[in-house]
Amino acid sequence: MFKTYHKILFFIACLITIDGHGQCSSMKAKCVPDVSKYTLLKAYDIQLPKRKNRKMRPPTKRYSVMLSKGTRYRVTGCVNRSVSFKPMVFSLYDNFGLVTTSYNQNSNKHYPAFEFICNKSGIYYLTFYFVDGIIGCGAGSLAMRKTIK
Amino acid sequence: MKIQFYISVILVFLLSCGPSEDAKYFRNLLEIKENTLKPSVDFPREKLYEIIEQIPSPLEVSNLIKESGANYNEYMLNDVGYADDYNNKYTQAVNLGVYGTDLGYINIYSKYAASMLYMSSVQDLASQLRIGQFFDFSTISRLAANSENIDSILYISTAGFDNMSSYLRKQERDDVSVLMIVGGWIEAIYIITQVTRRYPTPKLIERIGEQKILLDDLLLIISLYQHDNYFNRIFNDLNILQSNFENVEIEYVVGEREMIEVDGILVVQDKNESIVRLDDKTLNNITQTIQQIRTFLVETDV
Repeated sequence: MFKTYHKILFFIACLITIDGHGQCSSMKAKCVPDVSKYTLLKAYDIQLPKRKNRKMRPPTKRYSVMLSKGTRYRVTGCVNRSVSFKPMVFSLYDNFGLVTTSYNQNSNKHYPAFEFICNKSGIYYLTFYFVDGIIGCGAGSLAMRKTIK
Repeated sequence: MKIQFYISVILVFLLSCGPSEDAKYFRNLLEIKENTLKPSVDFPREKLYEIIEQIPSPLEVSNLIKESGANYNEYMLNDVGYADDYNNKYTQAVNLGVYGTDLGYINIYSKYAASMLYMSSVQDLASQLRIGQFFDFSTISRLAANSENIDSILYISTAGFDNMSSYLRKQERDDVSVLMIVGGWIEAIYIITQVTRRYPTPKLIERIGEQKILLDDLLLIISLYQHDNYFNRIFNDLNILQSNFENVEIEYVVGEREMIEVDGILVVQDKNESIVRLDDKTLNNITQTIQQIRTFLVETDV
């Protein structure tokens, strides 16, 4: 009985430890592009649950942001590899649909960042999800390039 | 088995260190909750923060002003001397946003001495609102000694405000979040309209006009707290501003986008275009209304 109690205590303690302390910590500070070339505007922690089943779309985090004409924006994505072992896909939408995404389906290539030279001021949406809907731990950032080229 | 037992005891002991911090956090939270204004109607918090997040960083406006060739003008900014006189939650939160925008403007122009003064005011107000823990003033002071560190100072201040906003959201202090964002936004438009009076460039005028896009949503989140006198005053003032913006026309021209890869990064050139039109009279009306609203926001006797 006493041994069983030990086992249960050990199991619970390990579970709490894994869930409580080994969890996804903020990655925002690690997801900032070169500050000599870019000015950080916004940073996002991306923490997503695992997809419940394969038929469902991967859990997605969405942020809305106003972008302005004449500004060159850079969107960067970062993944905490100790928690999430697949890439994160981040995309930019406007009210008409997809503007661009970090994942090129044709070449099956994931980009670490993309830049958007905005010519239409308005509300845009940034979305973040993890490939195959795995547990997501990462960060994203929105920055602007210092000189418009 | 003994090892398992000892590990369990250590883990349980370590975990038990948490609750005392948690208890302090929850005590603090309870106290703050009592002073938090509730919205008059049910409104999804997700939607509220979606609106808050879409307000652009004031750094964008400051950067545009600098690129226009306008000289640095500290006299436009809210006096740091007022910071101690903001003695209620409303003026503290609004002016935390105001000083935050001023700080961004100062940092974009690399004015180190002013940056330290404004950072100090930001920290004072943030501390009074119990969100002062996000600014590492000693690190910033150290960085300010070297003129090459302005990028780092900019980053640390942005990250500080960012973390502060996340914390407010976690604590459900939505009224403070709304006031901060309103203060910061009004100050940004105030600065750009003041600069445009002296250095009117098409880009600056266009940036003023495009604020029309945000105004409806901003009014929506302020209206949630309209049962409160202070919020009601801001709501009424922003309604006047909205009537000024009715004369701003925004046209959208559709085009194709071009994508290229540069150094392993995808670069998208937007060929869609927004064209903002506003005449001088509209610009003057907006400038005057913004000035009136801003005067009210930075007042200390409220």
